[in-house]
Amino acid sequence: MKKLTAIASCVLLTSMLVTACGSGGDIKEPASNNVSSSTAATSETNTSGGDTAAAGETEAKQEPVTITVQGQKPDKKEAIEQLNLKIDRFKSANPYVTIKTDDWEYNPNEIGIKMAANNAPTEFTSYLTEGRTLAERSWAADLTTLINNWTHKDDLNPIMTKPVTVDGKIYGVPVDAYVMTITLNKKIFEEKGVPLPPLDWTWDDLIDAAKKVNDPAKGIAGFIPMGKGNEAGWNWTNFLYAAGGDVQTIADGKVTAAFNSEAGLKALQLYQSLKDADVLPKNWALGYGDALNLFNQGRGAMVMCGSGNAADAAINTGGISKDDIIVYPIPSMTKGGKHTGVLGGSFKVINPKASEQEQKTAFDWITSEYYTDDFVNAIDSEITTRKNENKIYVPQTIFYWKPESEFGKKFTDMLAKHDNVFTYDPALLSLLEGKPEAEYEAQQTYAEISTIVQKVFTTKNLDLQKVLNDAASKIQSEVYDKIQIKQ
Amino acid sequence: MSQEAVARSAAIAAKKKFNWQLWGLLFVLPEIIIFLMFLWIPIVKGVVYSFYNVDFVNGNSFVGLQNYRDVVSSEDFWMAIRNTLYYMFLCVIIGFWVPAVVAIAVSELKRFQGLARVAGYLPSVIPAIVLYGMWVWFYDPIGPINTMLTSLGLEQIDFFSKGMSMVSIVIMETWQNFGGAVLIYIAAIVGIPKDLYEAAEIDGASVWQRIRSITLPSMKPLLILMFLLQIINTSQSFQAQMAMTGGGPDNATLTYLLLMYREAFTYLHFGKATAMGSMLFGVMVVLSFLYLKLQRRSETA
Amino acid sequence: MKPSERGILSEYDFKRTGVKVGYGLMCLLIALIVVSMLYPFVNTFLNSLKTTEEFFAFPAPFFPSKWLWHNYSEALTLIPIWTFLKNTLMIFAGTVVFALLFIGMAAFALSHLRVPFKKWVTLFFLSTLMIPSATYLIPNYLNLQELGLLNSYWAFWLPAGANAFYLMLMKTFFDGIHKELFEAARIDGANEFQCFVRLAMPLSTPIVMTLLIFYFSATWNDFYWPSLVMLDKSMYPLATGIYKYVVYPNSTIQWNVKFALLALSMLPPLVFFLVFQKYITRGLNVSGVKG
Repeated sequence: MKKLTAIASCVLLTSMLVTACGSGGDIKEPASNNVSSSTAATSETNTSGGDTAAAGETEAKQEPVTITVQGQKPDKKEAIEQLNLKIDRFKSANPYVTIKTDDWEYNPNEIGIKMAANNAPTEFTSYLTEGRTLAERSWAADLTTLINNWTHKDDLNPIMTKPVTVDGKIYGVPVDAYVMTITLNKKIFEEKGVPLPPLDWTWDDLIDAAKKVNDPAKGIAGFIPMGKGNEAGWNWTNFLYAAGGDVQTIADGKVTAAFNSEAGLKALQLYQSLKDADVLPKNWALGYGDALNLFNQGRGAMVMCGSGNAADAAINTGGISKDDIIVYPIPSMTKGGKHTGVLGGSFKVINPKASEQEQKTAFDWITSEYYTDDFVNAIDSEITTRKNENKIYVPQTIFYWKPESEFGKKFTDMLAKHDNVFTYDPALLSLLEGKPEAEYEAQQTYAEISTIVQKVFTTKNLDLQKVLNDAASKIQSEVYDKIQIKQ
Repeated sequence: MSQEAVARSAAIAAKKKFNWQLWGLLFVLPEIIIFLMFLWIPIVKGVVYSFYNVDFVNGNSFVGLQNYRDVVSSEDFWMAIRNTLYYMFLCVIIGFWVPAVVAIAVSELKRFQGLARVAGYLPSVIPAIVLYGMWVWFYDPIGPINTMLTSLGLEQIDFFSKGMSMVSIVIMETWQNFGGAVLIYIAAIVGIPKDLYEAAEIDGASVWQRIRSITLPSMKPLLILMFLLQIINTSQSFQAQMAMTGGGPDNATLTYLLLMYREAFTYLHFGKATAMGSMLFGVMVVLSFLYLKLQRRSETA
Repeated sequence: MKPSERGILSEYDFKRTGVKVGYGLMCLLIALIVVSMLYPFVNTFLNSLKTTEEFFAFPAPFFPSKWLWHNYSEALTLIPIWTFLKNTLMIFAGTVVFALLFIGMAAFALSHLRVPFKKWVTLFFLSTLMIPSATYLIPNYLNLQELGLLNSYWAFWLPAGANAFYLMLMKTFFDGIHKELFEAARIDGANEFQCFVRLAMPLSTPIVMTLLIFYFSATWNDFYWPSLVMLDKSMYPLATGIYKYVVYPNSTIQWNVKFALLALSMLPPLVFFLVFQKYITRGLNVSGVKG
């Protein structure tokens, strides 16, 4: 009897493993339109499981090809509708292609695992900041050849291709982009009887406006800069840029920290004077979401974000009327100066582990409607659908096309037709000047700058220049000096 | 007793001993296999990563101790160690005794004991957004705590200042986490035979003496275990720091694990992150060896 | 007064003023703790009934001016809540069975049986706690992939027993059971497995129930790991569903509706805890903890 138990428990263990292996491959779900079904992606590319590898080979030999494309989450009903229509259009033009959607959104917490296990979709959307990161780790396919053979290669907006070009190779297809702006809550200005500052404003105008609308007793801050996490560094960099500074310079095959320059000191002094004027929230520990929430709560009159992103959140999920929101450029340091802000945005990445045919198909999928009427019409009907749900469409300010092109005009005209589109002051668009983020180790640099910003927010009597120099020499020796630039 | 009988009983004893060993092995074997398959194999692979430049697409390349050298040469690494030690210390001072006291108190309740038992454990199911949002509000300059202080004519507390932020986080975490330990302690307390108290009371022991000589000694093995586990757990803390302060201000709440987390998931340096994890592992294992040695020495002395 | 009904304090103690005052203070303190624990529940619930404007209003009103129950009907349409709930419960059920069986057996062996190299075996288990799980997160995932366990419940059931914390807890509780009990059972012809199932486990009901509560909340809350391990939406547990489709960073869902779903998701654990804590009472009367 004892023996029996022993055997039984061994059998139990092994049988568990067997059933487990079986069920892992068996479970499949009929792909419904908006639901991710990445089993296809896994079974195709899972080289570690012996039996599934064979299936991948046979598929590659034949003409039919299956790709998994960036899907939309269920709450984005209008976008899903348009995506499904686009899939239908693409399929009728390319009947041999099977398209699956995966509503996974790019996330640094998950991309490593997805790439290691090879179950990332064939194409997905990522952020411009991640361009070099993805390229250096070979997590984005080199699209140089595909783009060079593309009819529209010269129509791409150069400001958008720059951040995805790494060491002369292009690693992504641009989608849209933003320049950092400051979003104002007009209502707070009106309640306090404070006139809005001029659009072509300066740092002094910013301090002045912040002081006037500030009301610490009620918990209302004049200006909400982000102070927690890397966002703190990202926000401050706008002022560094506006002062004409740089985060880092690249020369002679070396990356050198440059944020401790004269411009850096000026930008830090601005933060110091905002702090001294007591116009910032008492709690410095505000991340991206925290800052936007405070803004939505009316606990701050101004917040810094990518062009319309703060406006979008405030209007569509924060319950603030679109007429109470106005977008300003980053103020210039002195009158007549440039309103330079950090450039960010999104681009399409193709999975480098996908086969050549899949990569080509994914590229065709991404670009199939670029510069066509279908592209404009899709967004046109998305906006119409949104109107029925009382949602406002907040467009980006920069796109894959060149702003002065014929196609750009067509797009702008389409937007102008709708009354549920958030409009920027035309003068604003001419003031905005985007500058890409630090090319090398941007996140580590932001982390370092964030500690500087936090020092200013929490410590009195700082020697600002020393603080900047210390941080610069630290990141120089610990990070930049170890970078090897490919020549 | 005949020789045969002695031999037989010896044989039975030997067989029994052998059976015991067999049973023991049989009972731990499944668990050993599970630990091996689902923990040790991944752990060893993880430690191996720390000697490589991790590249999931083109294959890893061996870099020797480079990851370790990079980690150790950074200022933040040493800062994170200091912060983590400080945090662990605060957790013992502020947090360790709370669940034991609450467990004893709750087990004496005559009514609503059920609710009181699990109440402490409720925060474990509150979504992080709600939980951290609530505490940020509690700690707000115009939040309930500071409003109360002001109305009492006292000085406001800046909960997120450089000096206070770690303390604020530990207070929040104590509130958030003590319920689990309360349940464990209560499970032990309900097992204490009540007649022991009866007997002690008849002997004239006061309430405090009863707690000291009956309740606490019964909980002693658990208290030791929980202390050990708290040390291990707090050495790996990062979530509250990440959510509340992001490691700031000026790295004042940057714990070891938070730094490791950044290396792994923000900078995507998996080699460096695993090197940090392996170092912590090494230190903890060595410490537990020393602890066992010291314990054995004190036992033999 | 029956001895089983008393605690540390007896009826006679309550005749003394000092004890009475102390006891009263203690009750008050516990009441305060309970209120502070219930506050987030009430707050989440009330926020879920507010309008968006009220939700963001500052200072925030505690009660909604109008109770918007339709936030709940809207919340229920957001995700396939029953599928997700079913997955959570499936994962939980299997986890508990596997974990209690294997952890219980190993703890029993370490506590009451002879195990070769016991010290080393204990260290083999215990030291896994000392390495942060982020160190082996990726190898762990690749390991599951190689075993073909991705996208199945087995990926949660099989490793359920790999938890040294619970193992040590169980062992400490088993240590408190007198050896003589098992000796007596063995003389009566019980084998070790019967000793384990019929004596050790029932005698440890309090800790078993505690572990049940721990496993429930762990399964209920874990969103990150299942979001990686489960590849199909139809396999997601509730927490993953909420994390991926409701509170994700670019979500356009109104906050009051999000909170309605969050409030709903806090209800089942509350009920579960309240029901299962009842069994945290003395196991059998023979139970004794070594003093």
